[in-house]
Amino acid sequence: MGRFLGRRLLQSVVTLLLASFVFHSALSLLPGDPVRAMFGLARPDPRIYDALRAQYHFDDPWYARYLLYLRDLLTGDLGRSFPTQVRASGRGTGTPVTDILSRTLPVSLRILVPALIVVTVAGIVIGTLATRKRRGPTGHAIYLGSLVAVATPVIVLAFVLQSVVGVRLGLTPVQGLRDWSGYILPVITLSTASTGYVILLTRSELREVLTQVFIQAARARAVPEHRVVGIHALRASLVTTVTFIAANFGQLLTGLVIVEGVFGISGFGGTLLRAIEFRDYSLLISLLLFVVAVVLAANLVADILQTIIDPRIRPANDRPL
Amino acid sequence: MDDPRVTALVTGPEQAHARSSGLSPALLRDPRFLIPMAVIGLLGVMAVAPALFGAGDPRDCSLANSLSRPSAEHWFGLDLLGCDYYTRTLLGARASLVIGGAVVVLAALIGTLFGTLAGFYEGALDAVVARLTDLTFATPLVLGGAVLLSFSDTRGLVQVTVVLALLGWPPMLRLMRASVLRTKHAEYVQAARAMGASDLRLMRRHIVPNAGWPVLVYGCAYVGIAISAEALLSFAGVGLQLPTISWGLMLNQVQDRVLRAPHLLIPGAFLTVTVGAFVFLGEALRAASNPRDG
Repeated sequence: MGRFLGRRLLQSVVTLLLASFVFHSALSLLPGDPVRAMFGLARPDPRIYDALRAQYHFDDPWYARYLLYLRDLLTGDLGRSFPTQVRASGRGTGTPVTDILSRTLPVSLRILVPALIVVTVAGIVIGTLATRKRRGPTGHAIYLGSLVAVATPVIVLAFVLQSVVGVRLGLTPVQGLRDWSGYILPVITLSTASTGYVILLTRSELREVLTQVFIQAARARAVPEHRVVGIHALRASLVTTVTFIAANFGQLLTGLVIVEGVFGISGFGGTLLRAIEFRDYSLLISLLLFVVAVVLAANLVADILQTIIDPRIRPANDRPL
Repeated sequence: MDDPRVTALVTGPEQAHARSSGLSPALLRDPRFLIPMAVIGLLGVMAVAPALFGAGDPRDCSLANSLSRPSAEHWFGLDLLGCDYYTRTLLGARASLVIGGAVVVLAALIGTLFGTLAGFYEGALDAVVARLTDLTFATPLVLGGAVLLSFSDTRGLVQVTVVLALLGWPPMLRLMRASVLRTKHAEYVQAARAMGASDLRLMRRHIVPNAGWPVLVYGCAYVGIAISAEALLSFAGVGLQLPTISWGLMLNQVQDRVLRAPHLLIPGAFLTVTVGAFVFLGEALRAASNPRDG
């Protein structure tokens, strides 16, 4: 087990290194002179200009810059946002990305964590219900409903909830997180599509599991049906759910960006959206690298969780590639 | 790890029971197949011949009547620039369908090519391709696409399609590679090899045709994801640009006004129905290749 997780960890580190290399190269291939841009419309003082170029190692070859960048990454320096308002003095070096992250991540986590709980709990409970009532109208309604949830783009859902629940019914705020009621719409918007997927997965997984021998054996031992489904079968579908959420983590973060944009929340996603808007490439690349790291970490956590939930499996060990 | 959303839709845990091809009479009676096909057909006609549905000239605008409410003359009202919203909504189907289709075809071509080669020859090529796919799987489609597209000042159908295909081919590659690994030792392939068929002929005539169905099923559901991605990118201001008509772009332009004028959300409804059609189609094909599913 330890060896398996070690190998996955190593693969993740290689992927992260590759990502940092690709992103950094893309950044250095961009046309334009970032140091010149720091001065805006002002004419740069040549000495300050040269000093800044030297300070940011722009005169070094690209591979040397990559190694420096890598060294900074390893010491926990994720770079800086690009300074937009630099006076001709050349002062102003932008905000460190680590500062931006430590300021915005707590805000985002307050939406992300409740959304993850909703996805897991609602997904599994409704998915189980759909399996139990498979042939009835309830089952069909849940099946159709989850397919619709899966198909609704997050922007559309955000606007519909804002105008119906927020404006028409006046039940919740449509912007910001002033009190607890402000969290309702962002969390629902973020979790709906993933919940739909978990319902579909639980539904098909449970049906498959319920035909297996260990379930028949439990039933033969007169284990009550609610225990058969609730404990024996759900353990198996929990593995599927955990795998899905981890594999889908990048899409969840994409949803977070849109949700924070639409609901005016200045968390991680809102910052990323502004970085796109202002073409703050250095911040954008750092944030994207952070997203990649989070996605890789989520998948490692899923691997560990799987072995805890069901010690028999060697998760994804035989997966292609 | 394929795109988990598509995997959830088209494979599911029962894939062990899946038939290699799901084209069956049952599929042709399945409402989950027929309704999406009808919707996609309708959208296609709408994109090719919008005049049939009463669309006018999208550039015939009257700024004085900006943001008029729906009326008998303008069914969906007017947008910010006073252009007929109904006409623009109909024309929005073009960008979505073209991008959705082109992304999947391009991704399937790249994925099939490299997947076949990687599966057939394995070794070093396989290892390189594996690391590249790891990277693209860890990079979310829309966020990675947003960064790539933000580098470009002109973003038309071509740029958006290329970027989405560039980030979207690995799932196709994995499907293809897995299929090739399964079929390349099959007896009919060995027989063809014994008769002196070249590698190229083996791949082209014997391996790829038999591995194509999963890619096809996956591709159908992936169209919905590509369309959705284009809308999100255009909404975030890094997708298509004016004067191209795109539902995501339309939502971007009215985002500050939808709360007071809900009819401006109509392009969102079209977007949802379009994505939904492909999601249901993927679900129908998945169910068809798994006879035990109801």
